Amino acid sequence: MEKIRYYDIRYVNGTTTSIQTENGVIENAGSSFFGKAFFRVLGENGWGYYCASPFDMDNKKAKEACIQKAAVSARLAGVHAEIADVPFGTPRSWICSAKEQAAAPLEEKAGQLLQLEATAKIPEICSTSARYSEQYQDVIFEDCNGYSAKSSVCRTLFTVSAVANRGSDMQMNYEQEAVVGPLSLTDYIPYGEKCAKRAVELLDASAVSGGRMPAVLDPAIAGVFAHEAVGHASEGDAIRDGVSVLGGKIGQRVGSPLVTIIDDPSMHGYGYEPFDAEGVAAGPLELIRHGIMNKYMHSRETLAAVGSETGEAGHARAEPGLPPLVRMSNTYIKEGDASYDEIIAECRNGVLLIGSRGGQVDPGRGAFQFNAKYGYLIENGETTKMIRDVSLSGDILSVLHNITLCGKERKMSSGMCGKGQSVPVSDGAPHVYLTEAIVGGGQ
Amino acid sequence: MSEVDIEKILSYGEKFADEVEVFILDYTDLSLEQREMAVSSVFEHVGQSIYVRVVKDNHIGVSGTSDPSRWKDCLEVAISSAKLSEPVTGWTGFPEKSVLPNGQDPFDAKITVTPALAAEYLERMNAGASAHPEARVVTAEVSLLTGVSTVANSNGVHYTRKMSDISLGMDAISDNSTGYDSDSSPFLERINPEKIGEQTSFWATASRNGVNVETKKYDVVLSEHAVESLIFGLFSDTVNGKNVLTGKSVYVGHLSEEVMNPSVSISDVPMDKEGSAWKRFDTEGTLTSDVDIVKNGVLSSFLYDAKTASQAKTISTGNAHRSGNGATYIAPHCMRISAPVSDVLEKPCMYVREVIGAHTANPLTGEFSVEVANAFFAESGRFVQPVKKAMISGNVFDILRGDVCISAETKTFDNAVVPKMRISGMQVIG
Repeated sequence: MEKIRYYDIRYVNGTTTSIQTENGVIENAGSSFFGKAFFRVLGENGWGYYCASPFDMDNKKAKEACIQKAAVSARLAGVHAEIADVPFGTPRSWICSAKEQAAAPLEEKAGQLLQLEATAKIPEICSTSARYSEQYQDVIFEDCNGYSAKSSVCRTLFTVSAVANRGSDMQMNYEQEAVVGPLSLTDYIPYGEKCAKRAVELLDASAVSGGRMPAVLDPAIAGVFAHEAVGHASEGDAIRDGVSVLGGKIGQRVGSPLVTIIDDPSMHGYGYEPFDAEGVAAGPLELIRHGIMNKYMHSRETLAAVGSETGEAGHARAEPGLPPLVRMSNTYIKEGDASYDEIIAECRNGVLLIGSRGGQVDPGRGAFQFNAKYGYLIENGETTKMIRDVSLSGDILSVLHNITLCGKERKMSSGMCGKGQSVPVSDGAPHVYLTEAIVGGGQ
Repeated sequence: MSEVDIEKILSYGEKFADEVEVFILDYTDLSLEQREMAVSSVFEHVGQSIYVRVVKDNHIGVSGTSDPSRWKDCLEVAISSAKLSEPVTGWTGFPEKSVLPNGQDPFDAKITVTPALAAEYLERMNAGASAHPEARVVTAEVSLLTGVSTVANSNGVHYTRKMSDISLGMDAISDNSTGYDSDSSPFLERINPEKIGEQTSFWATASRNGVNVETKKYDVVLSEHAVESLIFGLFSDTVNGKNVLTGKSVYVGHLSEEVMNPSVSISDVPMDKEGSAWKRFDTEGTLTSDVDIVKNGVLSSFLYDAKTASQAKTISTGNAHRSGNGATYIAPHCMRISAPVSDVLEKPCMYVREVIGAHTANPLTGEFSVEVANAFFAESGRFVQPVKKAMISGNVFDILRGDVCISAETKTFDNAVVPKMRISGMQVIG
């Protein structure tokens, strides 16, 4: 028998149903289903993992065999690891299994999706598409100390996209809504037209001349900044490994006093988790409080490695069948007290960046890049010409210090975060004013 | 791992559908993760996936599961799904049985899924990294995989492909300068772990003490990594037959027209000797062949699977790959570019090893503005000065219409063999 200091099992049974429509017809619709058991054993000198799929959680002999396989792997490891002893908390019991939604016929949802997509068919739109997906995951977590927890979470999303065409110019836009729990497509029928109108407007937008300039970020792209630039650099594994510019800065000023950034897995956003991949139910955690580095997000292992005073566990997440990684959930910049008009007026001459086409960060170097869906020039304190293909880059610490106004209203956006594994997250912010930003554009 | 009776699934499915297809993937993989220069975790995974597609009155349905014992459920879901989907205009059917051309699968018996082999390669990567001791190796990983994929359909196709893969990756830091390198191949002898380690620590140390850059136009040389992520990634989407059919490509209606500099050709070569794919047939069982996508600057072909080829009233180019839910998607197997070759680093330039945010480029217009990483001013083939921070911006399609100049040396990625590329007068924002 192998030496086992700790083990846990995370079993996920899931079904994903999706519908894809293209230019007014159902391209495909159907379901896939899986059951994956992930076994994690901490041996004398590190971790051993084993994934079995399919797996019967009632089969005790098979469980024992898989634990032993992971234990054999753990014997090969050579980095001693500890896991912090933390309270598991009470698994969140928000009912979001969406049984009524699951029972509704697929034909009905497909019809609603087609209706939503059809509203995007306006003049100068040459192509439309829409996608709907509902994902049900039942999780069972068990550890060697007899602790167990169960959850059942449904995530639903739709995306509609439109391509506008005028002569040789083409522009694209998409709108998306993703929630935990059920989502009624009938509530979102106008999104198709909203999406299409923006795509057509982009045909008349100009490329921006890049350079250093003041910038206003809308809640979506400021949320991506909170996630990409600050969130990833506050993850316990990056801190432990010494590859974050925010490492070793607890208690130090890292940004303007206006900046408070929070990660909250208990929030009913797309990143909601009743408990994390180690069975820990976490609440809101202030990463940065009034510009001072406050806490890091941790797994039980990184908390033990970096120090219990540096943050909280409950932030380990995993795709079904894969090892837990320290991850964000719902991350946001807290509201300030400025109105939108005050922010634009204060900026005077710069750019307003709106929406996000994604981003990326190198936390070790402290560099980030993300792209806006579109934006507007700000001239003499007013928004003027629409701009497109505009991006923002910078180094994390400079940008945090450059925030001089935060708006009153925060909005959250949903998406997926890739860090070797892909997990659902949300991020958000109020409008944020940066006195200087590096703006990239094609002109 | 349970044995799946494919013929049983096909014959059962034919009671309800005109055509049935089964795709099965069996694999075993193992990965070693390193931290603090020692193995921190060992992960073994044994898995099987089964995907079923059916066609009834030209309606296609699909389903997939990781539990082969539930193949009947899978089939029923696929049949229900077919009822909902629109009939495929011009559907010509799943591929018929053919004689497979000679050729080797992307499989190397020397790749065994054992901790000993993974540990050996991890150690050799670490040895390579020690060439630049001022860099600290942060993490490293070695993954090994072997498996078999099988595609069978009711038209008599029943092909299997053996697969193997070794993947290595390492990242390092020196002061606030980071370096990363990785490689993967189905063949053990093509992997050079010492070089991956050496390059990782080289990029971390060489990129320190970078200088600020003035905002203006520079001649820029993109590394193989940057070309693959920024240029090839976006170009692949543009010639994807599905995007063309749905109007999501700027190349719609431009077949047989000049879309690039006449000195540029781009092709897909599934059995390219330097490539990693080595596909004699795609995941639908269509035999693959070389496809000239752009020849001498003229757009010659798009890439198709069976469904999009039917809709476009052409034949499949054999470019079907398989996604997680069992549906097919279109991608090249091994994309190659030919263009005038020169010593791209001879004349002064800014060399860009990596770009951050390549995926944010506009897939329709080709516009991009991305952050650079591990960038240097270079001349006479040597790096003169690292760049502290900069963005580059431009348009992928304009680049390919301009005077493209590529290096003779290439790097092999999963679905492409890629050279460096020199671009004149690119906008750099400092």
